[in-house]
Parts: sequence; C-alpha cells; structure tokens
Amino acid sequence: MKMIEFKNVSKIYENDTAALKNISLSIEKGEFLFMVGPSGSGKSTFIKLLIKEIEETSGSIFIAGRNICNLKNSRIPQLRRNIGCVFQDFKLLPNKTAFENVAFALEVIGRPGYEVKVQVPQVLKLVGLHNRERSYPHQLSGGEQQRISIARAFVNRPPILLADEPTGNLDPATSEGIMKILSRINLIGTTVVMATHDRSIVNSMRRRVVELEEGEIIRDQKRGVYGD
Amino acid sequence: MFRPRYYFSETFVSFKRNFLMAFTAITTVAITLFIVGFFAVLVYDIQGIINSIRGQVELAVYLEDNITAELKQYIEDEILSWEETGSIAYVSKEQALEQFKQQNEGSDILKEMQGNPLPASYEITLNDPEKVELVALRFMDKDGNYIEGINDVVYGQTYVRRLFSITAIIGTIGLLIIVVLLLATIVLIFNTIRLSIYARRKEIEVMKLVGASNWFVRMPFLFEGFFEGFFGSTISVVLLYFLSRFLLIRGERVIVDTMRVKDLAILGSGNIIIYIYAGILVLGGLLGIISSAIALRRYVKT
Repeated sequence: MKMIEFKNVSKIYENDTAALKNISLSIEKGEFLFMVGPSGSGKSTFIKLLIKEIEETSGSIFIAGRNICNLKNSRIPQLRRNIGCVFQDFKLLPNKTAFENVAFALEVIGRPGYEVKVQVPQVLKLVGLHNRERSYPHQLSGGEQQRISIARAFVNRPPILLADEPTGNLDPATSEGIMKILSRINLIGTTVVMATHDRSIVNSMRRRVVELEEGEIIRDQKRGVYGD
Repeated sequence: MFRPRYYFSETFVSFKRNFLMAFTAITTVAITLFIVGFFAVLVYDIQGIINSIRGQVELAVYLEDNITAELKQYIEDEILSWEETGSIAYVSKEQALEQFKQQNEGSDILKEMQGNPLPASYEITLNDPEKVELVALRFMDKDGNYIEGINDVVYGQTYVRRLFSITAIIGTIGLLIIVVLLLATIVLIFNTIRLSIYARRKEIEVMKLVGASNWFVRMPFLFEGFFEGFFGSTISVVLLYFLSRFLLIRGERVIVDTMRVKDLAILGSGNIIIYIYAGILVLGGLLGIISSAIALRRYVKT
C-alpha cells in the first residue's frame, strides 16, 4: 500500500526559486526513507508540503490514497494528527515538563485524561526517558530533548513520522540513540521519512535513499548509502 | 480527576508566564478608555451648556403704543402660526415698567422717569434658535422698515451670530477629539494584544504541529483578549466613577447653579454617565476579542 505519493509535484516560491521540480515519488507503508542532499535541495520543502504548511504550485500529493491538495483548511488539523513531526530545533515548550510537553499533543486534540495518563508514560518509556518526565527542557541534554520531541510526535501513534534533520544539532553518539528510536518506531509499522545530510547515519542504516539536488530527484536506491 | 487539574495548572502557568503581557494590555485598555470616557463627559457637558445658551436666544418684538387691538391680535395669531415659534409671552406696558422698576431698584433713573415710556412687547422663544434672523426679517417689509404696529425687533444680532459660529466650532472640535482618541485607543489596544500573541507564537506553532483544531488554538487567545479588554475597561470605569463622583460632579453643580443648564452627563436626567460606563465596558470587551481575532489571522488560517 502506498502511504505517500507525489505526482509531478512542483513548488516555486514567491521569489521565483524552484524548490521542487516535477517530483514523482511513492513511499510504501512501513518504509524507512532517507531524503538526502545539500541545503536548499528541497528536503524541507518536501516535508512542509506533506503537513500542508505550504501549498504546492502544481502536481498532486496523496496520503494513504487520499489527495491532500484541495483539502479544506479546517481539515488540515486532522491531517496533521496522522503525521508526527520531528525537527532539528525540537520545538519543545520551555515552560512545560517532559511529561507535559508530550501530554500537550494529546490534550490539544481532545484526548481524555485517562488516555493521557496511560499513553504518555508508555511513549516516554519507548524513547527511554520515563525517569525524566518531571524535567524541563532546559534541564535536559540535546539528545534527551530530541527524544521528548519524538515522543510527542509519536504519542498518538500516527501512521507517518517525518523527521527534518533530527540529528542536525546532536553529536554522533547521541544521534545513534535517536536513530535507534526511529528504527524502533519504524519496526512497529510506522512509515518514517527522514531528511538529513548526516553521511554516517545514512551509511550505517542501509535503507532506501532518495537524493535531491536543486529540487530534482537524482537518485533513488533501495538499500542505499549517502553517496560518493 | 486529571483534566481539571491539568487545565488549572495550565491556566496558572500561562498567566504567570504571560503576566507582563497581560498586565500591559490591561493597563493600556484601562488608561486609554479612561481618557476616552473623561472626554466623553466633557464634550457632552460642553454640548449641554451650548444647547442651553442657544435655547436662551429669544426675540423681543416691541409694539407701537398706538397699536390697535385688531392689529395686535393679528400679529399674535401670525406669530403663533409659525412652526419656528416655541413659546410666546405678551408683556404689557405696565408689566414692562414693573420689571424695569425691579431691575433698577434704588437707582436715580426711576426718579427722572415720567409716565411710562416703555413699550409693550411679545417675547418669542424659538424651536430652532438658528432661525432667529429669518424670523426677525418677517417683521420687516421689502425696504427694511418695520411693518405697521411694530416699533423694534431685538435679538442681539451680532452676539447671536457669533455664538452660533463658536458653538459650531466647539462641537466639531469635541467630536474630533473623541474620534482621534478612539482611533488611538483602537490602535494601541490592537498593537498590545498583537504583541502578546506574538510572544506566544511558539505555543501556537506547536499546537498546530500536533494537529490542534483551528478553534482549539484560537479559543484561549480570544478568551484572553476579551478578558484583558473587559478587565481593563472595568478598571477605567471604576476610575471614571471616582473622578465623576468627587470632581466632575462638583463642576457640574457649579454649572447648574450659575447657568441653569439641565442636560449634563452626570446631573442630567438622562443618566448619560451610565451609558458612557456601559459603552466603555462593551468597547473594551469587543476591542479585546476583535484585536485577538485579527492578530490571530496571521498564525491560524481559517
């Protein structure tokens, strides 16, 4: 089953720079995909299009077989509940504890309290931070903060997890820990798309690699490496 | 069990963190609306004084001593038939003399007066004081002479003309001040609330990221905007109440005692001050909620 499908998608920003040029790509359910390429190659644009933070200029995007291009604005939140997102800068709320940050994701989509009480410790355990749930982001290391943000992205079990340079601010050892968590989430059946330019991570994982350059796909390998 | 506690702590934490922004917004609303309210009272009172002075403009039509009863009756009927006429009072020669004596009691002028040189007159007040010149002209023929039976028509010609131009200017200035103040208030409140939302944009970003519905994101901010506007305007009403209770009302008392002005914001029968209070409260709440809604459009698409 195709989880994500791009059909001839182009994105041209207002200043006439083409971020994506006629991209066609499909990602199967449960796949783990690296999107590699230099800065400005269109990796982030790809992710922003999926969560409809920006609109495509042309082409169509399907998620689980549904065209999301003419989705009404009021339906976008529903879409985002099915896509977990992890970013390089974590985007944690500084005044909330680890537990509260994760719980927030459930609270704002109106999940009942008992569910929050069960789900949050579970997912914190999954990322290995069940003993730090009372800590605030500033009391945690970068790797721990990123694990909290993964927990938040995954707490309502979305079928898709997008990660935009999740290891961009982390050292190699910590990055390895993050990759283990993402692999674990992928093993449960979640489709994971990770944009990165971390060579060693891509090379060690041996997953599907799609390479972008100036908005075009120049390589798509089943068990690829970062490149030459 | 869990949720109420969560929301309680959530509200508490949010208030603590955003205290400075909320405080700024509330004081901005309080001060600006207080000034607006103060000027509303002032402008209303000035307008009341002006109207009262304008209402005092009247026309005295002096009759010839030898006027026939028929002609007098004819003139009276004529005056009564005009729609501009508010009221008409006849002052006979005797009454005029009596009034004159009262006004000049103890003066030498009374001793030197022989007989009764004072004419009888009609005193006319007008529904629309600005028509006074038009009415006065009706007592003249084409050549500018008074018609038969009329000796003189007096209404303080130059004084009235000047009064009307001054009242027009004061009215316009008062209105202008209120409009400018209101605009300044709207801009100030809008900017303050926009800043307080800007300060929390990260929270909005995260909410949207995890799929909070647009209304879920918007609601707390709209509520907060309304609360800040309403709370601020409540403070300004309290301030205005004390100001009017202890200061403005004294000024109005002086105006009533010296000028017999009836229509004032606080002492007047219309209870205008209540409407000003209510207007400020409604304006505060509305401005808060509308400012929030507009400021949110940047972060939350509909």
